[in-house]
Amino acid sequence: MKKLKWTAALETLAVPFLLLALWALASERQWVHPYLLPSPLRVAKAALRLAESGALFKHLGVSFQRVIIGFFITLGIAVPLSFLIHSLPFLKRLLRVPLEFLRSVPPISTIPLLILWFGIGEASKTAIIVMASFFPVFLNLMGGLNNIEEDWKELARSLQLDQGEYIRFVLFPAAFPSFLTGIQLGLSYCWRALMGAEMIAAASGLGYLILDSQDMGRIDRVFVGIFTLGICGILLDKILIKAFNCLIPWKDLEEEQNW
Amino acid sequence: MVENAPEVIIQDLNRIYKGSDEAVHAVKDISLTLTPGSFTALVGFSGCGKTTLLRMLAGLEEPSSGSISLFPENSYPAVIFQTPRLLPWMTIKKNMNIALRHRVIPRQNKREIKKRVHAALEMVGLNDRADAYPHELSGGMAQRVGLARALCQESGFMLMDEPFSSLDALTRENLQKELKSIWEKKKSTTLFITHDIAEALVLASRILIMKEGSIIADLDRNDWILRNKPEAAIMSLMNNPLIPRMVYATS
Repeated sequence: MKKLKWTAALETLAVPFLLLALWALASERQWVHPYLLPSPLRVAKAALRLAESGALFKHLGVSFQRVIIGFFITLGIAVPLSFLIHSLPFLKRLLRVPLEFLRSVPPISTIPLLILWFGIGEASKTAIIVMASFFPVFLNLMGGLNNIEEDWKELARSLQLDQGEYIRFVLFPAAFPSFLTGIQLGLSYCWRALMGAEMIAAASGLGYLILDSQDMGRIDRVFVGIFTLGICGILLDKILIKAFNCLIPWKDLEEEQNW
Repeated sequence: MVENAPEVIIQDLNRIYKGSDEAVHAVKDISLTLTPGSFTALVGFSGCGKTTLLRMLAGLEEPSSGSISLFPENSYPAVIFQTPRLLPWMTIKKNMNIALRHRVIPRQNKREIKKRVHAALEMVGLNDRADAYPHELSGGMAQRVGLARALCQESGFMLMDEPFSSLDALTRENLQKELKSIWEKKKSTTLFITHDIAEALVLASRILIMKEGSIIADLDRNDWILRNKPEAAIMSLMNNPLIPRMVYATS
């Protein structure tokens, strides 16, 4: 069993190591111009310097804070709206077209308008985050609420649960795994949209760090920014899945999302 | 007999499903009485309307016409479904607690709830699994919890829809024995749906045979027709095309 675990770990890490070796070889042999592809060592040194000076954590912290604030606003809108639409069918008919329209508009495309309306301060970036994360949370929660098993509805009726008890004991817990999937997706969409927003209108954050480094000709720092994003994304996903699995012991999200 | 075992009177009950092409008459003009504390089995082939009848008795479906009356009137049924229908996000104890929210008055009487849950789980031999989640139980255990959930409601009127049909033969036999012994103690008015004639013969004192939406035979376990090869007798009644609607009264 232990041996199998080691083999699996080696298999998982094989491709990243291979790519790293290829990258080192390409920059060592100068297959690509060093300006365009700095060596892994140079990138590591740049990362170390950015970490030592605190700049990396400052930018990461700013981006993270924006994501958290924007995401909580999303939850504040998407969760009550999902429940309202689920319980009031006329609301679904009323809001269907505007919501479908908004869903079809990529949040990044609204940046010029948002800057005009909210300026280049935090409000425009928060709006982008809300737009990017709203639909994954909303649609997943709606899916969870709408696809509740008929068996459980009947059970609630046979136990004569009232509407409040039905929502508390049956409906919300049944939709909870879908809601968590929505949170997971929503957060990853937040990151993507935020990077776009920070590259266009920001003076701090990881997106700003990447674009500013490009302007200064520091491609090694661009790589640091990209790697920080990728590693943070993987870590955040792993932490969320572990946390979610504690919240829903009857369902293994990690197992479900394996591909 | 438990004090609250009700008498159940069904009169001219019909259930018609209106499809796009034609209406399906799932339950046709059923009238019968379940005496207080009786154990009645309802047998019939799949699609004969057994489950529709039970669902109407459970209040899960509205009859197209006819009436169902319980005496005393404040009686309510406890239902055991074909699958245990335990909420997977709740421990066994909590699954049973919510069944008592409207059965224990006042609702906050936690001591009474705890006592009833404990007693019911003890009756099915699962007191040590009260804090387990449903996915940690075997099929037989889960169905036992379904039985305990119905028992703890102390309704006096039990409706069971083929509760053991998805279990293996050995577990089914054990659960039949457990159910029989529990019923001997509780004597609640029970309607047990099954397509397994042997199961009906083991458990029930009265056997109703349903075919194409109607009750075609109403047999007492001690009827002469069931004295010799009862399974064959019931099977021949179920298969006999000559008695499609006639109530076969032997008593």
